[in-house]
Amino acid sequence: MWRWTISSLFSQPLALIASIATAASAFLLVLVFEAVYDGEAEQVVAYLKHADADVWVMQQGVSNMHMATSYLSDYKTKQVRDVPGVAGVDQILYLNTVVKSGGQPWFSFIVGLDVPDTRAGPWAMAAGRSLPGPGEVVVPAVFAGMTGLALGGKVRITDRDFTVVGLSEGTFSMANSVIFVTRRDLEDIMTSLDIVSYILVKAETGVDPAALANDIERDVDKVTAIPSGQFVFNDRNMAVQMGVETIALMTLIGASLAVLLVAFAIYSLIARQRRELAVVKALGASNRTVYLSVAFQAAGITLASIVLSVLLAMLLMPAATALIPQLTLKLTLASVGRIAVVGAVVALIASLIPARQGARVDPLSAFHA
Amino acid sequence: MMLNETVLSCENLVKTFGAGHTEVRAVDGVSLLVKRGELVLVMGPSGSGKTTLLSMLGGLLRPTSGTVHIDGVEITALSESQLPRIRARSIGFVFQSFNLLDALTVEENILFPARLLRGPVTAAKSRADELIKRLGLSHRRSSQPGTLSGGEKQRVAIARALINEPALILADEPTGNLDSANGQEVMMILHDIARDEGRSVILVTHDPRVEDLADRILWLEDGALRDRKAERHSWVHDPVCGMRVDEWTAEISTTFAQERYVFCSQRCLDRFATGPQQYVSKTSGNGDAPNTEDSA
Repeated sequence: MWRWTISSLFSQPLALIASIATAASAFLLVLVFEAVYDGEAEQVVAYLKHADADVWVMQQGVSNMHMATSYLSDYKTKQVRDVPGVAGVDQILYLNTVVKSGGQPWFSFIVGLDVPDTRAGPWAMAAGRSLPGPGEVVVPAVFAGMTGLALGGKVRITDRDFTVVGLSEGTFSMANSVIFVTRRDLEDIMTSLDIVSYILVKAETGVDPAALANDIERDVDKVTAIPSGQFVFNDRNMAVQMGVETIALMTLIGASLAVLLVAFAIYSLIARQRRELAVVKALGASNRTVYLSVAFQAAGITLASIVLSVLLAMLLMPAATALIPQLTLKLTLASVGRIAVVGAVVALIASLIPARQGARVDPLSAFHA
Repeated sequence: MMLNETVLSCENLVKTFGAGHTEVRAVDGVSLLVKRGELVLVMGPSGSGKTTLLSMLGGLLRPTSGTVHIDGVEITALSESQLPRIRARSIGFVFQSFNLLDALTVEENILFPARLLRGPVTAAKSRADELIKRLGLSHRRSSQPGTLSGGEKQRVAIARALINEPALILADEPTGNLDSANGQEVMMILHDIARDEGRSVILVTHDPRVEDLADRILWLEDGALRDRKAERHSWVHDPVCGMRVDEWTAEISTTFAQERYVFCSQRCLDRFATGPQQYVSKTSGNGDAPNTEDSA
């Protein structure tokens, strides 16, 4: 029966290829959703991961940066610097707001830097300077490309115009672009003085960041100190939670589409095999054997579709990213694993109706074939 | 070989379709014994219930009442899940339209029922080799069914039916799609299977040319069965439509001017009744008509 099952699957190569290709397109859709999701989740925390900090200190009760608000008086920076085990500190002021370029608004995270003695600025540059001066701004190169900005161009942050002096790499995501100005300019925008949002702490060699965070919370009043790894994790979680329902819904739609396409492919296959199913049943194949045969064919088509979709994803994603720079796509092993699990469920569900259809074929019809 | 051993027996087999005033009694109280090595023809007009009977004997259709025993096993008492194994092990099917599996080669088609039994394949392979050789299919072993002639296809189907060495072969119009030479060859193979291997063969056919090879001919009409091995035919022509009708078995007849006329259908009789003169002017009783035939 297995030989017949496999041979039948390959007996109409064009139909098989069409079935695999249509199902693969649905899985590719799911993979792209996942890749966008994973890419964005990665990009949202890119700044935090690249900032040279072992511990992040912020307003008490705050635990992340994405869409958060944190204010500390800047004298706390000195208090943190004095905690034993601290090798150095950096402070940034931070604001979520809309940046306009050429009349086009873009939601951004504005980071105010203590220029020139800072290590909290952009880590890679496409053009220009990495640190802005008064009235100057460093914007992501992708953002500049999208809005037609170049070095020397103007962007508006709330009510002030800034001159672009640097185009940074890796600081753009669809959820938040990171834009750098001086802390004094940002204080001016926020009409506040002597405040910071986050203190980036560098630990002395051999000092455990978790222990140092505890020491900072003990020694400095009304602050929360979090080791960098945990802070990045918190931030990614927060960002991911904001989009998780949308992505889950998209994955569900893609998976449902895959179920429909695989089910249709198997249904058509079984419809074409109806005469032969009647014959094999007349010859002595049990309903269980027919069920297994149909499920095997569904699993085969699903597996081939998944492999094809992963290959297509690996092939097309770099091209898509090059074509659409604002898109960050990341194909992870976890995504492929998830798609395999989804595929198994898809194959199971998709084979149910065709298997019933196959098992219901009356062997008697072999006499009328 | 015990030639008197009963391979198939059915008792008072009835199959009805529909209910109430639409009820059709396709098979009506058929009882039958078939011995090992016997070749039995089942003949009868279209719609007489031949295929329905064959389907019940093969465990493909449950009778409304009655029993079927194959090799001592009452297949009518078996569950749906038990029947496929009996079909694979004890019955070989040969179909009019061959019903080979297109995706498999000749050898794989022949081995298919053997693989369903999940027994040792080595014995089945050697049996397949023997059948391929015996049925003259050696040069077609790896061919796809689509490349075979009708006669070759039916020989593959017969080899497939024999692979599990079943006690009973059920063949539905096995010569129906073959030319006369190939039809004769297939019939001879089935005849040899019964005579040399001691398998019982029940063969449904319309083909009068194969009657001489049968041990028994059963005539099925309106679902009822009767033995007509000793009968001869008396072919006459329906005076209305001209169709050939067996005068001895025809049920629709009338007498006009002291002559008996037989008809192929009630419709022809009704037409005859509206103006017999115009039809009898051509013939004087279709038994005496110049085109009357009489054959064994």
